[in-house]
Amino acid sequence: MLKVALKNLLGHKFRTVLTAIAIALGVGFMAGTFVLTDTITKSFDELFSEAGAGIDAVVQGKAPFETGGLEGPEQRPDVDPSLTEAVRGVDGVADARPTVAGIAFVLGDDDKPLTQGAAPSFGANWTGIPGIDVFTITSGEPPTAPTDAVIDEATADSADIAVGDPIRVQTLSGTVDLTVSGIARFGETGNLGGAAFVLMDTPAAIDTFTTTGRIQGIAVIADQGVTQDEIVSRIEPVLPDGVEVISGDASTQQSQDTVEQGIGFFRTFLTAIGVVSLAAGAFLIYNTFGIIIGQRTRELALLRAMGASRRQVLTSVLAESTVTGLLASLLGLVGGIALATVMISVVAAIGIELPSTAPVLAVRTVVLSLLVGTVITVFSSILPAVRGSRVAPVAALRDTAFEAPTRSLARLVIGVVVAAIGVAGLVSGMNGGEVGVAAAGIVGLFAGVVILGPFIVPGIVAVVGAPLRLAGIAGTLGRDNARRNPKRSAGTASALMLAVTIITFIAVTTLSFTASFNAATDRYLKADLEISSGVQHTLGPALVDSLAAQPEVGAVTGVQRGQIQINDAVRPVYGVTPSAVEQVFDLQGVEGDLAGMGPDEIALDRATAEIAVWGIGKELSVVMPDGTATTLTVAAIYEDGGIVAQNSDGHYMVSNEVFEQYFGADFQTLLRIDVKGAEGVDLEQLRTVVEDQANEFPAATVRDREQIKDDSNQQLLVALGFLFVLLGLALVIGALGVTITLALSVFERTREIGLLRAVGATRAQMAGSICAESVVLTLLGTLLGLAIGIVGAISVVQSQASSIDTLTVSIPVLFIVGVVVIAVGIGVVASLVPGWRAARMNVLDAVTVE
Amino acid sequence: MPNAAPAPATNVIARAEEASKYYGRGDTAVWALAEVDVEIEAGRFTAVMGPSGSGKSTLMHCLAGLDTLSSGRVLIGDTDLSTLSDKQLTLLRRTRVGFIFQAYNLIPTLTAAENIALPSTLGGGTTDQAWFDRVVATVGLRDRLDHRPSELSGGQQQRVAVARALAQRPDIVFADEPTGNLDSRASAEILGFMQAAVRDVDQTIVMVTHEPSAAAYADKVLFLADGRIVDQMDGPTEDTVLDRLKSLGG
Repeated sequence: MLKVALKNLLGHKFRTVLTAIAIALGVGFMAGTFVLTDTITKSFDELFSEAGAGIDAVVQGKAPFETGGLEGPEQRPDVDPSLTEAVRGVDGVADARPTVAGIAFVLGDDDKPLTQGAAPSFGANWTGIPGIDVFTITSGEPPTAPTDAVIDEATADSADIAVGDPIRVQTLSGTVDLTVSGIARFGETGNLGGAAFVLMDTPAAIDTFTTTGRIQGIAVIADQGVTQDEIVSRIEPVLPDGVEVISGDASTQQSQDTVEQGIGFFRTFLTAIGVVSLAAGAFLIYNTFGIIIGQRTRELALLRAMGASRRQVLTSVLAESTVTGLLASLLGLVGGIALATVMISVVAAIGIELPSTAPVLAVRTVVLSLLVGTVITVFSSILPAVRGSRVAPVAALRDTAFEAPTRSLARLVIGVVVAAIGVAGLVSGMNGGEVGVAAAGIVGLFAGVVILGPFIVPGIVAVVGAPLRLAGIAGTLGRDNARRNPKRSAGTASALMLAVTIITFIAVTTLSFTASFNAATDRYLKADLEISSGVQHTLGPALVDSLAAQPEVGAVTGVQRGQIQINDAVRPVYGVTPSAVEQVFDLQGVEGDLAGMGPDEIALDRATAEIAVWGIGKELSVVMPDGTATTLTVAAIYEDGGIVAQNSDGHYMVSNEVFEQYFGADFQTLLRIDVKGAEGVDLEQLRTVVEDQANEFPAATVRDREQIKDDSNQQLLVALGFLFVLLGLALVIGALGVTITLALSVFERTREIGLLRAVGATRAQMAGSICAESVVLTLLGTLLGLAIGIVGAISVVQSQASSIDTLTVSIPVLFIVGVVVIAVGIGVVASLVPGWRAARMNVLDAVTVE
Repeated sequence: MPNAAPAPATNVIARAEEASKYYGRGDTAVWALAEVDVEIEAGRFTAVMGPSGSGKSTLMHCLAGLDTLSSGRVLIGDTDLSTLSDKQLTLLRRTRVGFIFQAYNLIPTLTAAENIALPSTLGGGTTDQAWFDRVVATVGLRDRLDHRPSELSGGQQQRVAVARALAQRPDIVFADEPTGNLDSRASAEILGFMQAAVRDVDQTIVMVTHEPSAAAYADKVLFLADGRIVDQMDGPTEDTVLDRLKSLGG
């Protein structure tokens, strides 16, 4: 029976190849994701191990509570530089040196940072101790004078900077003029993922790169013969509270883990997209095998009549799908490796250059790809295979070998129930219910529509296909063929429906949230101008002070973000200038004294206050990032701080002094600075003054309200564009499904096509009718997907509307029109090969086929 | 060896001249048609008979423009089919030729009426309603016009096929074993309609069949063997045809 299965695969190459491609695309995307992320992880791992090889222990601030995750790097407090001497005095320590890490952007001739894009740019210190310095100077001299700097090769090359040249560097405190004394690379061979850096002599680095004069760690080299564990246990006793020591290996591991964590989010996101593609592929396989089994009813019946058992028929079909799945997975794996190789160079092109570019193919990638692809293929073919095995031997004698379009009552009942549950969930969301219920509603409605497909297809096709009558007989035939077998049409449309539902849902929700953000900017942002730090947080608190000193500025506040532990829960907290915040932001009403909030006070939003039953004067016990346990008193409760926080869960505001006092250097940066002009100062006047001050921070941009909204719209487009390119994969699989179904239908209708040609249908009319059928099928999936996506998005957005008052549903008409146009295009393209086959079919062969 | 000379014809609607069809080359070539000369007279019902493999179907396919010759030519009216492009051939089939096949004559998604009107619909033209009604009445389908093929019996389906072939008033109708799938009663009905069309409206019909009883409805029978026309007979009856076939060793 295996032979029968293999012969079937070979006998229908076109079909086999298309089915295989559908699965291979999903598998390839997944495999590519794994290879890419593994390669990135591995190259960083090697880099960190190599660079940290000489360090035996690292003394660093101890995070008092768990943070990290989506909130960014661990909130580690800084260390007092004087601790270095104490550590160096420990028996067994050969040397100990401070390590400094801050931001530092080398500026080009136009005063804009040379490094732009995703790669970071940091400032660090040069100790001159081999083994501690993770950098290798390739030309020039180490920094010695207070204005000496060593910069990385890539930056030097990009702007033709040579040893001895003067450079301007932006730090957290503003711009400084330095002289290039040398050029270096990270480790001995690599660059740190395209990251740029500026190295200075240790005391100068502390002055230049930190605002608090504190250091970020102490690197330790042990005496010969003292193990890492030994030196760690010897250093531990001399450390004050809030400071810890870890071995060099553990420190390397920590760096690797941080990278792996970042890569992990990236991997999860890409894998989710791969899963969507695989799901679309599963629909396609299920449908294709269903059609094939239908067409082969006679053949299977003949096998049964000749004595093949049900089990043998079942096995033969499953064998066919297993081989298809394996081939497809292999194809996908190879394609995935190729994709990853391309992606690595793309990633390098946007600035994240990898130290080593050989793709890493982990055993896990191979096993998972082959397993997932094969299992999905086999699983999707089980139902059709069972149906095939139930073919009665007598069917071999019957005239009609084609699948009868039966629609069971059970299907109708189950479909209605599932869809009704889905609708109930969506209605609950629209009335402000839980977002999870709304999301489940989308899944329910989608599943219900898939199950009910065969029942609703004829009606929709009649409506969608109505204009096709204008296209003459070809259009009419195409439309009629599309509703000829509702089950098949519904199955074919499902893969596309999945892709369109997801795309539509994402488009409508993100657009609604962006519109809400823009509405909030209009309504609640009283500031005239905003200085934005961009992706790299580059704004230092110094700019707020210098702006406040300008007579044209009425009020100014920076916004810092960090986390503190309040009554045992880690919460996001925003640092602002209390006296200015109400003039810059409309908080829709404040109870208590926000303007006068001191460094031992805190403000929170009304919703949070009500849930916790806290009022003005309530004392909260908090733990600061540097480990200080203290008490903050609730000074004010504001109605809605969405304009400050841009997230809907509860948040807190503290004075910027709290950040200065308790947060590490990394968290001194500002997300943005909002400025309101003084009485009688017009916008352009204010802009001149603000831009002049912001010159010290060239990486930042100064924007007015309209520009803020333009930028957010721009970001939305870029994000959606990126996402749609990825989800386009599922769309391609949907189109493949249409092509396969049409190809099978053309094959099945050979007689009919021959007859049409014999009685005078031209090739163009033949191709036209296939094209019309294809367009109807794609529109079917697209319109259903649009409907479910929009309804789902409305429900999810409404469920959030109670907490974000500017949130309303925005349905993008242009997007819907665009999707429909694309669907028609996909329909036309999907019909090309089957249409060509139908048009080219030899009339005589077709009418004489048995 | 020359073919038997065709009977003198007053009005020839289609003819084949030295029509040959072979597969392969040289000694191994298989000849389906060997330099056949034949003339189809207008307004007559011609049957083509012969044992299986005699080339009767190939001859009809070539005459109808469904198949191409290896050498020689076929003319319908004054049109040399070998000079036509696929598009021109399609147009010719649509407007000047009617077809009745053994089975699968109808498009399952179209009603009987739509199937009958199919050739003119394909041409984007309008149907001559009076003629359409007359054809429908002749084949007795008036109350079946809105039915789809799956709702019709085999005989009814074949009547729709006859109506479709006649509806365009083509120069010539080709029927390939039109009764091959029917019982004797339905067969007689179909053959009767075809005979009536020839008699009443001077329709030209060429029918390939292997049934002497069917050939008996024709005005004239051509006998083929080994790719050649070996005999012909005017005014055939079932018995005379059967005798002739026997003598041909069919």
